[in-house]
Amino acid sequence: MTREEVFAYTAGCYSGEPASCTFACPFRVDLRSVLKKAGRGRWNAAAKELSAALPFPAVVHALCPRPCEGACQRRTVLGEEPVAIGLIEAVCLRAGVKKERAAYTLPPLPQRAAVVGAGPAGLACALALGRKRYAVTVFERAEGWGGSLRAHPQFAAFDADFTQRFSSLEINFQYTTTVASLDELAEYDAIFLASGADGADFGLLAGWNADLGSTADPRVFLGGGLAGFSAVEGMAHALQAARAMESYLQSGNPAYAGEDWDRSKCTRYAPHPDEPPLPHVVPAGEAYTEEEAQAEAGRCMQCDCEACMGACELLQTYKKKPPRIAIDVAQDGQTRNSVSSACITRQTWSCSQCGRCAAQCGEGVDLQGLFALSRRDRVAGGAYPPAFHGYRLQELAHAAGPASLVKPAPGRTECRYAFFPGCRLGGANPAYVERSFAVLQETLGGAGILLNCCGVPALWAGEEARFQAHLERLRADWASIGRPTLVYACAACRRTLARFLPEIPLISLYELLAPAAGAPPFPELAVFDPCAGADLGEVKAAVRWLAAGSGIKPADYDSDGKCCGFGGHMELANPALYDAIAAHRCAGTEHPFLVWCVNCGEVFRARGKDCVHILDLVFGLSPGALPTLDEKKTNHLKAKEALLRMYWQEDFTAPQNPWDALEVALPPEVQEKMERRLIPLSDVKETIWRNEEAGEGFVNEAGDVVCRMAGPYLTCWVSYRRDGAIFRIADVYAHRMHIREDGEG
Amino acid sequence: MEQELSGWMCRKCGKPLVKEKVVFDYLGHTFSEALLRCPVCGRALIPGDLAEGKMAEVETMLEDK
Repeated sequence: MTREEVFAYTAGCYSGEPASCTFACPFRVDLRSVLKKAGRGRWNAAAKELSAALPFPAVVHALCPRPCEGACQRRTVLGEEPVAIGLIEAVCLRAGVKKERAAYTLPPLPQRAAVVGAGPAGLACALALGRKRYAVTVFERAEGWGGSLRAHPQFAAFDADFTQRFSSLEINFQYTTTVASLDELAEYDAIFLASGADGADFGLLAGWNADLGSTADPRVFLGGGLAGFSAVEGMAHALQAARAMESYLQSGNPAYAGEDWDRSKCTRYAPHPDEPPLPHVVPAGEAYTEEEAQAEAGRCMQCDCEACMGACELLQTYKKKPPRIAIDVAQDGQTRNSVSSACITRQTWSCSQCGRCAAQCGEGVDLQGLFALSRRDRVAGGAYPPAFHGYRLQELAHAAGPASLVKPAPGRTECRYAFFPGCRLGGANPAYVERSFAVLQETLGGAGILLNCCGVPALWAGEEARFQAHLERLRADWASIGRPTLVYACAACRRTLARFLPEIPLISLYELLAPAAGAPPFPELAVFDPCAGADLGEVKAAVRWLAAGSGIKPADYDSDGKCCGFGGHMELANPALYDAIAAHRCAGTEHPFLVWCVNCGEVFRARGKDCVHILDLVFGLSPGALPTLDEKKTNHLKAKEALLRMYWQEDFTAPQNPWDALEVALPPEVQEKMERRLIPLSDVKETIWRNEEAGEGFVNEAGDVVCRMAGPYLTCWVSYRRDGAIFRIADVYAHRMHIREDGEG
Repeated sequence: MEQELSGWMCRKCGKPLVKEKVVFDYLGHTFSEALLRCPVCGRALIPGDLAEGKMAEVETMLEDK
């Protein structure tokens, strides 16, 4: 994993950067900050901020065409009147700065700078250099300062502004002095030419660097009307040129002052989806009163894009913005030791991989992809907690092993269509697979079957090699039955297959079913579309059509691409977040849910939310108790057995383990704990059986036995007491640490 | 829990368990704790409250690194 690879995922993110109004401002005033202060009535503080950023606040206020208002997102995004920044600025300036900043703390500098022209640009440059205590001399051919502004009707006010700003500085103004040749300025270390549109450029405009103001003569800089700038642009440019001059005086290279200020960034706008409209405050008189200005400043949305943060509980929990996440992922990938401060492990493994963040982002920032990269990198480097995905990978092995089946349409060697129910549908209820397959035989004139998992557990686990091997296997199985269109049931399968096996044509099961009239279990249901199906408009429509045909009225609800909590298999990595997300979704509507993803249904039902699967409606099935982990495995095998017997007249006997027949009594609270921690009863039985066979474990005087079985990702402990043939289980618990029983280390 | 556990014996070796240092490792870190273990085969008994208490805390801490 390289840094470039990591930062590519968040390259477009501008969260935390200046707002569009600031990018549009020639002086880069932090208007979010100014308007925040104004909104709180802190006029002096707002004025101080303006005063620090603007060379001559009254002049700029009078002349600036306010590109900030043009870039205000109230206008550009919401289509409202922009925040009246100019009118608010007037109130700030009227209040004034309580205490003018003093320059006397700096010692005078020996270098001498000449400014040719006392127009707005020349004065701005002289002000900036004078404040740094360079010895500045201004040459002006007229009798006073102001240049092109001398004829302006508000010149008296500008004159006062100039006087006030220069009052504490020692600048040498040489009026009625024309500089005819640069030789006259030989004694100066740096020169700024700003003698106006009709001034002399001494042949230096050719080769002029617009960003820095530098010219072919290293000590001469140029700007203002001479370079074609307006008064406002000229002042802003002169400030940048003054920085370049200082850089030149200190280091000999003006480019060290270079700043990345890309004006095109003022067109990057955040979406503001939930922002209520706020009407522009129209001043009663010619100018705002403080109250009016304060109300108008309150319209500032403090624009900073947090679209992905608003869309995701994970991002809200960790409060890290995308650029920070990228830094942590990169740092984590490079240090990966106990002193790393990146602390990204938990967050990396807590992502639901739903992709809602990327869907919300207009700049292509993909945190789902970044977390997936982080997972792959962690797994490749061996630095990951195997227990997070251990059980789900075992399920994948079961689905790809004993529960898998590849058959062309009954009685044929190939097929145009094959049913791909995925590993979850049959696990929830084998009848879902059997009944669907029966319908497909009729509607499609025969269909094959591909029972397997799509491989997404390996993808979510960051197990790249395993995932690729699984894809190869799916591709080969699919080719072996004539490259059929796969009829999928699970949105996660569709997303995985479409992305990684794009050569396989896909169609949703729900587009091939017909509604069945029956007594609906609930008159009104809220359709919860799975996160991976958020962009599958035709499937969503088909599900609603099936529901309507069954007499269901869909409630006014939109799951809006949100994950139920199951996605990414975060349940063990972050149980608290998993619970919070699931509870959040359950509380999202008072109506029971109608789901078309069995995972969503299981997550909601486990939390006591009434929930119906679309196939329950279509086939008139009543959802029984939630299947346990073991029942899900067995259900897969039952579905396979039923299909083989019914359509191919083949017998299938599920593989048996010697511990399957063990009779156990399991208290419901222990069962519940096991389900939450993904410890199947078969593992518990195996633990007991192995220890009983070998006579191992520990026993106390009362006859209680405690024994354990160390697995690949956790050690499972069972405490029980034998009661004849029954093993009465008292507790089941596990730890992820490994015990070094030889005592080494 | 100490008193409760005092009567435990190893079923394989038939010996009462004694309190001795047990070494654990997880995610590249190693640590030890005095626990009941068989003096002959060395197998340690991890009680439920330890596994779900302190051990789970340490596991979480190391996973958060």
